[in-house]
Amino acid sequence: MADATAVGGVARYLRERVGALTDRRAVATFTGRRRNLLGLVIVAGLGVVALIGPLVLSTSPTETALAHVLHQPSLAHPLGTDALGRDLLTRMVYGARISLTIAALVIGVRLVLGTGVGVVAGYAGGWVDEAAMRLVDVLLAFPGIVLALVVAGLLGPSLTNAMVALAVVGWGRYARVVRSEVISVKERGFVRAARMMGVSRPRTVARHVLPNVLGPVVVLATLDVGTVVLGAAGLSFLGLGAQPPTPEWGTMLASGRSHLQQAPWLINVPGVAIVVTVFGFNLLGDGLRDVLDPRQRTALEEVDS
Amino acid sequence: MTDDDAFVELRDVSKRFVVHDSLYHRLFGGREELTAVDGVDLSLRTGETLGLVGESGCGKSTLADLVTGLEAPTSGEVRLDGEPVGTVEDRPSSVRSDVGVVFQEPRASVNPRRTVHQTIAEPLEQQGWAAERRADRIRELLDQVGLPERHADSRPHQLSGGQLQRVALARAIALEPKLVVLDEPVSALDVSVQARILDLLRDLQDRLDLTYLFISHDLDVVGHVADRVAVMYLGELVEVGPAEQVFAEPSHPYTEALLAAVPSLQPDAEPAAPLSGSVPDATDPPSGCPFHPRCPAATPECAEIDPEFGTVGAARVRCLHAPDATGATEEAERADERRRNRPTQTR
Repeated sequence: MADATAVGGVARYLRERVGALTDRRAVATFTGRRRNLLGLVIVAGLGVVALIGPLVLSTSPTETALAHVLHQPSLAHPLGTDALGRDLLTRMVYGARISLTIAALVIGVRLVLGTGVGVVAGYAGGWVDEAAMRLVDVLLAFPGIVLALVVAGLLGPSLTNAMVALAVVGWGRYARVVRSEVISVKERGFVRAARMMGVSRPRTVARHVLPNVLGPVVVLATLDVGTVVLGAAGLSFLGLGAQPPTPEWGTMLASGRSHLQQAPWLINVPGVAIVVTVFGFNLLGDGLRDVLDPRQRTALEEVDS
Repeated sequence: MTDDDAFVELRDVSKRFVVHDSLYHRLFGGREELTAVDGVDLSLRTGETLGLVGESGCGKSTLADLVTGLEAPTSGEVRLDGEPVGTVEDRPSSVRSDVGVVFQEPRASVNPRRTVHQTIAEPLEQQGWAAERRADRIRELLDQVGLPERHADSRPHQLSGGQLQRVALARAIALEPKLVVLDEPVSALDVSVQARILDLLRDLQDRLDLTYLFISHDLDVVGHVADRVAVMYLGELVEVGPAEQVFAEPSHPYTEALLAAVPSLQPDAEPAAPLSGSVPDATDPPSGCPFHPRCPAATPECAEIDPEFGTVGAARVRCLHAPDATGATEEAERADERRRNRPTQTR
């Protein structure tokens, strides 16, 4: 019962927030599917953990306690302790904050870069479009994580460098999606009418083009969180990202690996955290795609009118 | 051809597009030119409605873009009020405010994220009107297009297609233009809504002294609103004349075929006869008269001679076999003569 009201409250909140962005029908479509709500709950839960978890916990994620090395999960340490006696629950909670921060920053950069390139390419057309899109083709021809490995390797191992690496290899898809949306939007009547009125290009883009291409970008960004969390953990696991003793999930996996036999919870905790995060964001992204994808939206309208 | 009363004048206007214009096609060939509008001479007199008809893909919308300045002609000249004008970017704002436009698809012609008020305010804002003056004008415009004032704060998804078309119309006439280009303004609407929008258009024309370029593939609709009709085929005009004459006694076989294809409500009427074949590829137009491959009246010379305009009654017709078409028959005689002089020529 308590869960149901919590879900209802979250749904109401979302309804208000998203209501400003789109219409009620879309929200009803979104909340009508249980797995969308599950995704939303997981993501909201992670957000809460990352935001206020570290404030609630009195333990430190990096303080070692050699007297409590490799303890099994117990009341004192609900998720056990690691090889240096650090509380795993604390480290997981701080890890959530780190992972979500990485995801937000990396995706922020990807989004700004990709949207910028996509809008310019789509709106300008001609050789500008051609040049930008061939660059994107080259970028997308490499598997992202391999390219990120190369970049991170060149820059040297640190969390910042791992983030830079993930950001520079990942904006291509945003550019491509935005470009194709811009090309379709700029042929619509309201953009042509704005041109006839003499509205300047930057203003037309800001007022008419951008607001109408952001739906698919939001979907892409949400689905991308899983990829980025996984990529950051992967780089850290390989030693190219966050360095010990940072409580990053990938780093935790790497250090827990050597105690796999005696203390499986050392890798289960960060492993499950990564899986749940990726799962939650993918569910949410899929749900958002159902309501924000322009093709889906026209389908709805056709049935309606 | 020059006409003192003409507000819009197109002089030998052509527009060609390059298709497949990508890096790949530039490097490896495959670029082709498509002639969307081919040597069009046309004028619109102040206060009249000119209906532009033709099948889809015949260049009607491109012709509209040339008039509105959204496209620049490849050759020829567009004149507004006697002055040659370029694309919208080159037009001074006084000329820009002389032309309004309404597009076909009401859902796409207004920004779904902006309110009715914001949409109609945009042209006023662009001309530097103060907020208060804008608000007054928007109230007036909503009244003129028959929308209740409470819709000012509505967003497009709350309105029907007909209401949205009224919003688009209000935006088009906001700056008191002389010309409104209506690109299939009612084609996406229900028949009952169509009638009401057409009434509104006529009413606005009377009140505001508007000139309409009315583009449609629907001859019924054009018959209701147009004073004159221009029939377009494959980028060229084939017949231009007063609506009554063109509809009652079409002189060009293509016009005849278009009219025959309109289903009749009379139970004993001949069944509608759709035109056989499809519109030729515009990148590879037929020789001679562009209509000859589909023309029921085509003769061998039609494949060779691209006819000039001749006069039939009050209409201009471009067909070798048009009845009493003075220019056309002369052309045909000249062609006959040419053939007699070169009897060995075959195609």
